[in-house]
Amino acid sequence: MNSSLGNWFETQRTKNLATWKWAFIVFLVVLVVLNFFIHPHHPEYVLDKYTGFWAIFALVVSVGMVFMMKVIVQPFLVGPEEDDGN
Amino acid sequence: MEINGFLHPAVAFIALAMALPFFRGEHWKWLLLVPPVIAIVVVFTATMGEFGVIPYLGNTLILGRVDKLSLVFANVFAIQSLIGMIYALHMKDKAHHASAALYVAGSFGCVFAGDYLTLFIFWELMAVASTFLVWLHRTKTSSAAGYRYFLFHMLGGLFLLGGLLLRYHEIGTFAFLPVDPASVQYYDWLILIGFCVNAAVVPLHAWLPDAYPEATIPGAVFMCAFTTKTAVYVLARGFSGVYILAVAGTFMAVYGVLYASMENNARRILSYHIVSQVGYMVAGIGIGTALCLNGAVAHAYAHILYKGLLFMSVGTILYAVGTADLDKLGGLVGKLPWLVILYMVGAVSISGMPFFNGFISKTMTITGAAESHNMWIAIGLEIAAVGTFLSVGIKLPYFAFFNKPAKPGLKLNPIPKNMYVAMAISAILCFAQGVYPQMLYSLLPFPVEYTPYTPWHLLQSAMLLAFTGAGFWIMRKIIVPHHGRNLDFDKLYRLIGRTGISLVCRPIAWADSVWTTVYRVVGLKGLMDFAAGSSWFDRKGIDTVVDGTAYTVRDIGRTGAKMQTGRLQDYLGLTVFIALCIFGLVWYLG
Repeated sequence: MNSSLGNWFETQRTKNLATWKWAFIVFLVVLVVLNFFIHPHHPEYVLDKYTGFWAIFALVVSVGMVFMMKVIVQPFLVGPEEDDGN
Repeated sequence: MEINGFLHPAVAFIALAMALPFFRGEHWKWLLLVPPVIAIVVVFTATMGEFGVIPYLGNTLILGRVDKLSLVFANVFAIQSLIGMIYALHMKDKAHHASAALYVAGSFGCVFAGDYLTLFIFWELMAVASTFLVWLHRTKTSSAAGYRYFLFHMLGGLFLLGGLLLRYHEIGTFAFLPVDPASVQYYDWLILIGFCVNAAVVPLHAWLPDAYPEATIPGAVFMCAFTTKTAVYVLARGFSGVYILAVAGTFMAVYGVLYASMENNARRILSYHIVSQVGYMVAGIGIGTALCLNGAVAHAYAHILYKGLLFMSVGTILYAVGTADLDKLGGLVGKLPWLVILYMVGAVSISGMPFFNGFISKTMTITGAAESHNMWIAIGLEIAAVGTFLSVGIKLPYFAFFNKPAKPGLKLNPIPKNMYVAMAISAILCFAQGVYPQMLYSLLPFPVEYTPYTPWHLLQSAMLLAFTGAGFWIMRKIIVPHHGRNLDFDKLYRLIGRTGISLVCRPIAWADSVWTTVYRVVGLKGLMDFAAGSSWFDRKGIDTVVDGTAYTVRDIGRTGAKMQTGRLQDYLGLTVFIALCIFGLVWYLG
């Protein structure tokens, strides 16, 4: 059972990866389309009354966070692990 | 200790710890489950009130303050202690089990304490017992990290002790009561700092990502549940509405995810996410409205379950593969598929995905912040939500399980069944609370007026999570984990420590140098002169008298010996000579 489930996951990870990518893209589009019809009753942040605000927010924050921490900040902070010498 | 119908759960755990050395055979491990089961029975049957009230030195110690707030924390502590003990069942190290039991006992003691003195005693018990959960990993790095952990918690404990003694001096009571946010006194600030150390409030947080990744595998599961959440409890009990906590909590929430986004070690990623998630709770407590306090408490409850599940999952990777470094992992989905499923339940729970418990508690806190017009705090918590899904929901599983094939010939250490059982219980609870939030609502300290499952909440959460996934996909080649340790405040602590030592040592070394010179110039020379004088006196005085006496006696003896020839004529001649001398002397004097 462990093996068959593992094989199924391996298949999704390799052969069916393109299918999952397209499914994901369709899912993103569906969410934005839904946002045209579903809005907050009382916008809490002013801007969230606009369609797609949270989509853009998440995209910008995630990309910006990775860029800031991995490209700009980490080179100044990273050092060897303490057990590297063991 | 049964006190008027209330059996303090700490007693069962302390009894276990004391009895463990005497257990023999192989079946003793099942007794590990007895105290958690007792604790669960107690928290589900306890009645409200104060128990174990002890007069002490003119004050009153309260061992068992049972109310809505203490019960909700005790409830999840009891459940998590059972899960933790099940997870650790395969371990044969009795010292480890005893440390874990004492640690849990300490947390129950803190939660039910009605006065600061009782709280302090159990607070320190937690600090000492949890240090052993780090040391018992028995590596060079765990020894060092455990020592730093211990030092930092002793420092926090001293702040707490100083604060409670000064408070007693000022107002004459140890009673643990809420402070008035409008008039926080200096001793309250000291107590607050002590609490903030255990809550890992930035910049007092670095002990957490320093020590937790070095703890034993089950030890980290216990530690992720109890220390910070006990601190959240005491903050909620004593400092709700103190606004600086709202700012500090938001900063924690963002700081934790920023660091997690660049970390490589999976247990350290989860540790930074404890800082972040506790930030939500601290922010909710700082805002202090009923909805925010409910959110903070609900988030603490949910967090213990899903964070325990995450630490168990990553601990299982460490157990099976031998490393938790993402740059050394990959492709495990084919080999450990059930572990992947269990991990993902924890991951989506912490990320606030609908139908899992994190969604209930996290949105409650954020909504509470927004509704109380703390817009920037709410925005900060949303940023942290994105970062959480980015690191724990996507990055960690992607690089551990999915991104590449497993290493050829990878041998996995067989995983004990009890580890899977513990993870499954956690996963079921995370899901059950997500789909039936009333399970959680019924435990909260205030009536709940919050509906999480609205179309807008569902859509908003789905957009946040899905587009975070899109952001990860765009940045997947940049976010690749790299081997190394990122500089954090723990390095600053060490720098402060070294600076402090040098600040103390240099003046002492200078004074020592001056004293050495003075001693050499004045003291040593005087001593040498005195020694020379003594030597001269010895030679000229003592030796002359003693030696002279000896020589005289010797010469007299020799002369006497020479005079005793044994011949009669010599003695007669000598007698005549002496007689003539006497006669001459008499004649001369006469």
